[in-house]
Amino acid sequence: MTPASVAFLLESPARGRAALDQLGESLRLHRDDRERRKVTWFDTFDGRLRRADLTLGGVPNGRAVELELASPSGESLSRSRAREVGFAWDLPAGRVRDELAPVAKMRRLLPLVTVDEELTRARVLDAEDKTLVRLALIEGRAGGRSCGTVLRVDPLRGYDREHLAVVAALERITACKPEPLDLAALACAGVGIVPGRDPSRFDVVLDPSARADAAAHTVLKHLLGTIRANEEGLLADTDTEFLHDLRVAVRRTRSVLGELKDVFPAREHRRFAEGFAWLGRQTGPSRDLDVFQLKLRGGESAEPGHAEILALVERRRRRERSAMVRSLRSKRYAKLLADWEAFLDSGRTGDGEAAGQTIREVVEARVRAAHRKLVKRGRALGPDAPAAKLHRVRIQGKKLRYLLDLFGSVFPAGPRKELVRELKRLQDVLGDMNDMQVQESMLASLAVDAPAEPAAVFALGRMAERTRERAERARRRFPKRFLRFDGKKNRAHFAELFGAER
Amino acid sequence: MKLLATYNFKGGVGKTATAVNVAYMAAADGAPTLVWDLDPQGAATFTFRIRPKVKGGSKRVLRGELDGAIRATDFDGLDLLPADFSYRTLDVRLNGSRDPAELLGECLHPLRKSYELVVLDCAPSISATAEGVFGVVDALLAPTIPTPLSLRTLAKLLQHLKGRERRPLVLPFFCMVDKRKKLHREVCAYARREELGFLETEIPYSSAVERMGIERRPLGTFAAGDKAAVAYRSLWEEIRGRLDEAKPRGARRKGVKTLLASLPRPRGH
Ligand SMILES: Nc1ncnc2c1ncn2[C@@H]1O[C@H](COP(=O)(O)OP(=O)(O)O)[C@@H](O)[C@H]1O
Ligand SMILES: [Mg+2]
Repeated sequence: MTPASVAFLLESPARGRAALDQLGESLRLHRDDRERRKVTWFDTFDGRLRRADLTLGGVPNGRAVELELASPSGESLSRSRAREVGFAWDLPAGRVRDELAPVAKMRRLLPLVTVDEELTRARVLDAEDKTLVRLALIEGRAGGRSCGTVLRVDPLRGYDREHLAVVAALERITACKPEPLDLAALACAGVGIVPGRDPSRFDVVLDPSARADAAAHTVLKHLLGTIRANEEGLLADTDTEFLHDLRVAVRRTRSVLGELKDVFPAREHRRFAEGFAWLGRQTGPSRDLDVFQLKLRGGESAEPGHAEILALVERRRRRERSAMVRSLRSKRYAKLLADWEAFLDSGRTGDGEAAGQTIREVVEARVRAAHRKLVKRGRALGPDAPAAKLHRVRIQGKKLRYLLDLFGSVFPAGPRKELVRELKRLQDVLGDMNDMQVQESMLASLAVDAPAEPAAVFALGRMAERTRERAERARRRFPKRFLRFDGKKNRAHFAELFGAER
Repeated sequence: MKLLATYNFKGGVGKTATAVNVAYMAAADGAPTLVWDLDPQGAATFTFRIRPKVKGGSKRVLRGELDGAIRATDFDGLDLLPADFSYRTLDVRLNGSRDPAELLGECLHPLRKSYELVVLDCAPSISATAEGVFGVVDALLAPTIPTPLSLRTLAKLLQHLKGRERRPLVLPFFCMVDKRKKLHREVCAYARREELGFLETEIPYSSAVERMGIERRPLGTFAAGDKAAVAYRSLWEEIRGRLDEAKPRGARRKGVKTLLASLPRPRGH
């Protein structure tokens, strides 16, 4: 294994140049002319690349961008030249795309920060003028501020000892300790971005002994932040996940309003519950089309009629989107969120009994109730259960899931995670069925638009058929999944959940 | 990962020049590439200014421990497995194995993670190493000087490979082409007319290629505009295209027959 690149963080470019001079006294060092370049660091809105230990840097070259996929410590993984950077699937075929696609998936690659670099490259040579170690003195500026001076030392495969020697020499010369290189993180730090952060991630940890009303407000404020964080990307149609994450936050908000009804004043409760239900309705059709479109994209593009269906879906999607965008730009939306924020800030709570209880007590009661109902409904169902009944099980499962996701931090983590895992497995089967049903009705409604295109009509018919088959398969999986969920082991997790204080 | 080898029974026909320049073009094209200098003479190793030394020599190589022996060249995405004097014993070792191709394949296997292309620069001999290479590569690149004698040498190679279970795709191409020479023009024209299956790209004779021995680096790095450098780029693009084809076309059967007809029949027929 080749060792990693290291960085010396120096206080000024002059120090860096002096260090190179000094290094040149004892080693054969070739220094290139100083060059200027712009490096843009990319990631998805939710920091997927960074969390997968990847960085994507782009340097413009004429009309194209030279892309380099690397580890945060600067180990180059692959390179590519692209016209523009957007979705991974639009990148030119090759390693960069192959490695990015499964990580970025449907999320757009967005510029995080652009650094103006002054760069001096240097090479340590042997007697034959073969390069043994590469160096680069980098002075970066981003957003009008310096990102510091970095002297990076890059190893070359097969020349580890030489790399170590140069690093040791520089340690002496600069009196600095070498650090792991992470240029992307330095650039982000310069402009106040935390690399790898997902603004939609829900990570609120509650104090189990906190008052229920205060805890509910904490959760809801966080969710409001998520809604706000996703507005811009949703309106700009940056990628599909802004809408997805906003909808999740809305659903979670509604779930808190539903489960913890008592902690809110009745009038406000009704008003906001209605408001967020409205918001859910405004965004539903667009999301369904997004899901369908993503599915189509991943499917057989060579099938006859595929292109026609894509076009149909796109047309419909655009229509639904503009309706949704109108709603989100409406006074009603602005007022809903502004009032909601003011309400949460006011700290006003209901006078119901629950408001004053601890969050642990309230949530425990809700979780018990949700679980009881879920199990009762699930047990009543056999392999031939009607879709409507299964749907009700799904909804009950979701309620439980939201409770655990949002307020689970009041319980011990071990059993909670086990429970969520089992619940997720159960929900996957039910969710599959539901997705299929949504898709089926979508196909039916698209067929209404389709008569002009016979290829599309046939393709829609075929898809509907396959969709039904898949739904049927998912349905048959349900009883076994449910038995497992309802099994001894899982019930033990429940007991543990409530048994111990966190 | 694709495996290529430059091969010809004869020396001095441009095998090393091709291995080095095609590999360089592939790396510049974004494909992480390794050149394995299998010729104990070490011409490719010399070109990259790397020491012709593999710790543990052929023994270690055949144990599949190539990783520690690989050296980065001065060029992005291009590494070298240097030549080693002990490669002379590589033959002996491969000869003693049940299946040289299988053994070579096994030691190349771990490289799949790191490289998209491996180019083997072979010595001009018929040996166990060469046999192993024939059995393991995706394609043999056969540089051929446009003379009747060279065509016969190519025919012999095709004959040698005939009837094998694992026969590599043979991609012959003309090199050191000097269109001022009537003979070169005629042989090239003959090969096209008879559809012998030569690649479209011809590498012209160019003093820049000779200068590689002094410059000690790939053409593209010191004479990118030279006609031979341009030709090597299109050679790589053509090879890449062939390798990507579902059923790549190599030297043509019919062409082979024509060529073989020009050979004396082996005794016993
Ligand atoms: N296209 C060319 N034009 C001019 N000289 C060439 C060309 N190709 C190869 N040579 C020269 O011919 C000699 C043999 O080439 P080389 O690639 O080492 O052949 P091989 O590896 O087949 O022995 C070298 O001196 C090389 O510089
Ligand atoms: Mg050679």
